[in-house]
Amino acid sequence: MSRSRYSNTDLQIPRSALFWLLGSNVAALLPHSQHLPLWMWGLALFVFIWRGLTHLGRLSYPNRWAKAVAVAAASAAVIVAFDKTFTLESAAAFLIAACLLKLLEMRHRRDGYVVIFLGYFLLGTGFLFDQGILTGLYGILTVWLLTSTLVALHQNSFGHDAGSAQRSRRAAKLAAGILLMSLPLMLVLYLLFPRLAPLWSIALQSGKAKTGLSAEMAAGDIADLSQSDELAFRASFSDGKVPPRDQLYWRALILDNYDGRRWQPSGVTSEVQWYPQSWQPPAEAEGLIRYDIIQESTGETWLFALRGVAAQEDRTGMTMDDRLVARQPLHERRRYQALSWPSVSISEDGLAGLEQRQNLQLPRGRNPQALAWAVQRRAEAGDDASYINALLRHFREQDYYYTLKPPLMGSEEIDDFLFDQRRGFCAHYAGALVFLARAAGIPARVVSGYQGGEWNAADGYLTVRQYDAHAWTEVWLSGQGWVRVDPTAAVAPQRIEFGLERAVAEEGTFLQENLFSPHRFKGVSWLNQLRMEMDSLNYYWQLWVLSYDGKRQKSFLNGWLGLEDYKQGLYVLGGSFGGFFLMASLLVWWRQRPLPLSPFMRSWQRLQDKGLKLGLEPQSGETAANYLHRLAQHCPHQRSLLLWLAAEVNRQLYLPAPDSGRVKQEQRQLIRAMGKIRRQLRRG
Amino acid sequence: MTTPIQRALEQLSAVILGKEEQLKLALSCLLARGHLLIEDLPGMGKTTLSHALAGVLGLKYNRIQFTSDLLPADILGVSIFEREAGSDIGRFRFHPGPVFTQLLLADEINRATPKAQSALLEAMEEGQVTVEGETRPLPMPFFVIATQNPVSQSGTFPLPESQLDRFLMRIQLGYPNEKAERELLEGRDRRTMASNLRPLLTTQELAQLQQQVNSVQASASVLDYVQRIIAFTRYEGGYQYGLSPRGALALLRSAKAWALVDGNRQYLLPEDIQAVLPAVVDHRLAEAADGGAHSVSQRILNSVPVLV
Repeated sequence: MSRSRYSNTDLQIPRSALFWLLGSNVAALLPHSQHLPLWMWGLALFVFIWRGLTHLGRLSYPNRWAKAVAVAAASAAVIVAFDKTFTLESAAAFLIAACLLKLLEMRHRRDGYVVIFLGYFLLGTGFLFDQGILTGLYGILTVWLLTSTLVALHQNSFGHDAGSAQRSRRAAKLAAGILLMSLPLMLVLYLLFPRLAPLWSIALQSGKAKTGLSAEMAAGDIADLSQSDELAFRASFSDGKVPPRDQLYWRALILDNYDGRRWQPSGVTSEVQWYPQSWQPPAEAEGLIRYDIIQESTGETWLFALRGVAAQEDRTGMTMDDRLVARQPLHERRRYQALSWPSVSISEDGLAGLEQRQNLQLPRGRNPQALAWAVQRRAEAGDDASYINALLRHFREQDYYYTLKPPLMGSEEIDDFLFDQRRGFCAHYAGALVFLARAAGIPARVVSGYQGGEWNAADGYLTVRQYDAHAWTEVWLSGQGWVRVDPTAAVAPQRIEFGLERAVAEEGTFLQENLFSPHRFKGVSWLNQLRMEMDSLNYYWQLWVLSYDGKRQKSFLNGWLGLEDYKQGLYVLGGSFGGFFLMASLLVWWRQRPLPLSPFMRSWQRLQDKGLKLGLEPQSGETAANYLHRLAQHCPHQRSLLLWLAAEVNRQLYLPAPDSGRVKQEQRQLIRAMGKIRRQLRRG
Repeated sequence: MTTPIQRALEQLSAVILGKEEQLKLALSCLLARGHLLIEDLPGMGKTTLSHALAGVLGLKYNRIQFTSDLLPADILGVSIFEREAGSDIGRFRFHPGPVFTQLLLADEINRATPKAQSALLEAMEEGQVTVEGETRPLPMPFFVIATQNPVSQSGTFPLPESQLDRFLMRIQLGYPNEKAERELLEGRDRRTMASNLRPLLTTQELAQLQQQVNSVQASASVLDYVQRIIAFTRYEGGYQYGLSPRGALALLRSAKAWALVDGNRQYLLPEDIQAVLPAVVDHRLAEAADGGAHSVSQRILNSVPVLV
């Protein structure tokens, strides 16, 4: 009766393990909180309350109908919440909903396994969204928690040490041990496992709108972008040649088509030369800048580079309008190198017809006031260069304001901005300048990208965030080619020299909508210090860990291990696996190795071996005397000797010793006698 | 020269045929000052055994037949109001129950309710009984032989683990072998033989023997073996609970008594441990899962090495 009861319980989830299961699942869920719809937390709460009541015996497990309804409702809710789109987020949400419902019906130990493995999987999917160092550390903790749960699931709830706190401690300790032991394996896999293109970057894309530059620009767009402190990219310069801050114009897009409201790329000059066929500056050129960029995913093909760029690696190329682009859209973080020669002249011999026309294009009949004003000013200035300078002087000397909160412009945007409002962000100034240049017959275009960044002197890298987004202009002057002109520098020089924060300090609009951004508190020195340290940690994390891709793996294999490609790497991997398991087995053997035998036991075992050879097998749990008596029957010739030995062994081992000094001597004699008997032993 | 123990064994074997092993265990149990539980079907000679033991050892013998309506007072005794002869004055006088004896046979102990069972168990543990606020010592020695029917039989109240633990040993008698059976059928009535047994020991001699059990020596090697057995039951064997320290002491004490009874030895051999192990541990351990064909103790004997 009692036996069947216990074997049944064996299949149930131990009550103590339930808390582990719920806790570790919450931990695996938390990283997803950013992209989960709110009702999911309601579902989680509902599941936990039901589970708690079940635990207390107040509520039974859901029956089949309740489960069916819950699954249908959760699926419908996911479909509705994500508007029937199939994205990374909706897939993750569906997985999480399923995982929560599994928690509800979990009853037997095998359900526990499913929940734990779902937990591991959930944790893994969390890394599709964020791969920061903190997320990584949190992930390790969660893996520990999940593994402890797996251990706890196997703990006997009616074992000899029933204290639950003690049991939990043992589970956590064992799990930590297991994970530590798997660490070398993890490193080997990280270094040697072939780096395949991740699946999600092919088909399943994140449905979340990326914060970042967009392919077209309306006047207010960049002002919106400047409310974000998200990372855009990080750059480091080789040979320590860091350009001055006012030269850090990171070009991403050329916007040369204006429809009266928006600036867009026309595509006239976006023909790409791919590396290695692309243009390269002469090796002896003065002022070459070599740099290395780790760019966050944008979902677009453009890369960030300084003026006069030359592509430096496969799958990158440069366009006719001096931009660096990638072959595939960046759906994940990418690290690349580039080379720039900022002082190179571009198209100084004149523009091709189509390019010329595109860069003079203006929407017909719009902004008549500005048009007329431009023609008049051009006539006053005499030549193109002095006209552009006059425009900059105009912006600088007249009543123009740089603001993150530009007023809404009327339908004749540029007229309204130039002559009435006179308040605007970089995009307004850039747009207006290009308009005025084109109106006077000078080819001009808007360039968008980032300007400046935060230099980390200690670790030597530049961090560029979304609020560093900027728009400026390029003007074509005969004999000089394309020349960069930044009207913002005329209106708000602080923006270029010190960054946006300083430029809008008076206005107080820096990251106004981002209340808790640590970047708002640059004035608090310890906080800023902490932020910089954290940022630098993240940088190295990206540099050394996250940006380890197929190319870098290959160079690692070549350089460090002398291997040709990942195939050889796979052999090494197999070898490492073998080596690892060999080591592990050796370790296990070493820990369970038999203790060195006492001389008596050695001698005794040899006697038993001899007995075994003669066909008398020792039985498990047999006493020495018993075996010797059986042996005596087996070998009648030595009978008296063996019986004497049995008595002697018993006397040595079990009789209370009167004199400890003689014990050792007697034992030696016994061992000698045993050896002698062994040698004489034979059958029959 | 034969020892009193050997003579006692001879006498007992004449009455209980073909059960030397059980007789030795029962005698060891008595010498180790423990109580004995005999579990077997009715009619296997449980009563005869206890009767014979009492006769051989010269012990005062009482028997209680446990039934489901047995009350504690039926075991311990009651105070009854008695009028003194020729007077109007009376007083309560305690009439001791059957428990006031030296060897008590508690027959079919698991037929009684737990209340009655526990009344006896207090007496077993403390060597005294408390009735109406007055504590009365029991005669020395005090030895209980309880018999119980297999738990699966109807109308039984199984003894809980804690009460089972009070019995030093549990033995089964089992059917006699063919030869013994024939002898039994040919011979005289065993009950009469048992009651006609001549006492071989005085109470003082018995106490001396019990004292002698304590002085049996256990060497370090034997204690190592005992500890390996205990560790096995606690951590490896897959039992619900391991042996308690009391269980461990019981094992050692029984083995010492066995050494005296079996070989008149003043020191312990591992064989002694092995001999008493089934009787001592089988009723104290329960398998956590189905243990297979082997009994609890057999698994220990097979798994724990004697020499390391």
